[in-house]
Amino acid sequence: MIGGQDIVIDVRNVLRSTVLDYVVRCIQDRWPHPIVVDGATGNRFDRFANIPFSLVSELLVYRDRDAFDSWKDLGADPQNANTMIHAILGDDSVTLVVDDVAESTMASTVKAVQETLEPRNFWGRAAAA
Amino acid sequence: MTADEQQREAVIQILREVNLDSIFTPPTMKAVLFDRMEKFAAVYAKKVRGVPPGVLPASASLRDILAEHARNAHRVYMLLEAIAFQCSPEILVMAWMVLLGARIERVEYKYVREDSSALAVTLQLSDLTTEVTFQSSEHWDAAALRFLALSKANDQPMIEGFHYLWIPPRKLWNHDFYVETAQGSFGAADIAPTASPTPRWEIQQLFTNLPARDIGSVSVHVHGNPVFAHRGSEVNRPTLELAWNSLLRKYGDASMNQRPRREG
Repeated sequence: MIGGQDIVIDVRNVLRSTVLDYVVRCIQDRWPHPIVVDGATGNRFDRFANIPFSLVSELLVYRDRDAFDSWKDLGADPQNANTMIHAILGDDSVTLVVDDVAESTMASTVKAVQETLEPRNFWGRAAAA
Repeated sequence: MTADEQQREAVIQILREVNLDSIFTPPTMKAVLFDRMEKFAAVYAKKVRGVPPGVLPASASLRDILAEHARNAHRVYMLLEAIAFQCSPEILVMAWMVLLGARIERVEYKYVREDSSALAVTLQLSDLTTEVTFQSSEHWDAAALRFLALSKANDQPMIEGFHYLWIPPRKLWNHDFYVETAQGSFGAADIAPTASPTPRWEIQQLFTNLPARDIGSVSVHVHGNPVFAHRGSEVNRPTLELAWNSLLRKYGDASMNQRPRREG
């Protein structure tokens, strides 16, 4: 990340294995061919179907293969700004780390993730009440 | 036990995680479940033949489903719930493809009282070119609409896929006891055989965002102390004792040492 910004979303009432599933789906709506990497193991997933959401808690989602290669070559270089989203699942929340939350794709992705997870969290709480 | 029987037993275990086990306990319902899963696998294999290689897994056998449970439990939960809601194999395949990453492009549903119930769903697969359409005039397939994960994208309607529904632990809620403690919530259900004079309590730890977890059982005896049998890891033993003591405090010895009265 190049001076990343954190967006924290409450997911304490959302089934844990679904949280990053929703996050990746929302990102995929904007970046149709992302490369997803497990932050803990470095395992890379080229296809959504292969991501083991029950087993991961930290994902790096690159815009596409070019972005992935560029990050590998240059790391957190300004040239790579806004081409990767880091999603970290905690006990009660998920944190999205983005370079610039005001950038249009980032803003739209963050909003979509919030609009997807916040109602699920609310409904989950209602169901458990 | 044959490999096939082991796989079926593993599916039954998964049903317990999502509180669907009571629905499929009668042998006739078990037969319905596995028949539906076989038909689902057959329809999936047929549908996937028309899809470019590598876009979707080639099969959805019982073994595949169990492997998927280890990686993505929520996908299997939703599939089993859709089976419980009597969705047809065709619509189960549609849901499975969505769970594996296909996008829902279009959903059309038309209902005419005492006449028709027609569902049509068009998916775009992850290659972003292949579209697959599923149609059904089976009324129970409309239950699939209950699983839609509604969302919005820039204030426009979006369906992000299908999601698993939290089904309350029916047996625990309807029949026996429940306690909340600082260490968690627990439910107790009497599972002793009919002829037993004393209860055997199956204890589950209940979560708001995870399936219930069996932590063991407590057998009550007419003479002597209760016998604890924790399930799985040794760490469940103190949790089981904590749950039992909390239940005793809340309901008292008299309630916990006798079999509960049940309606029907």
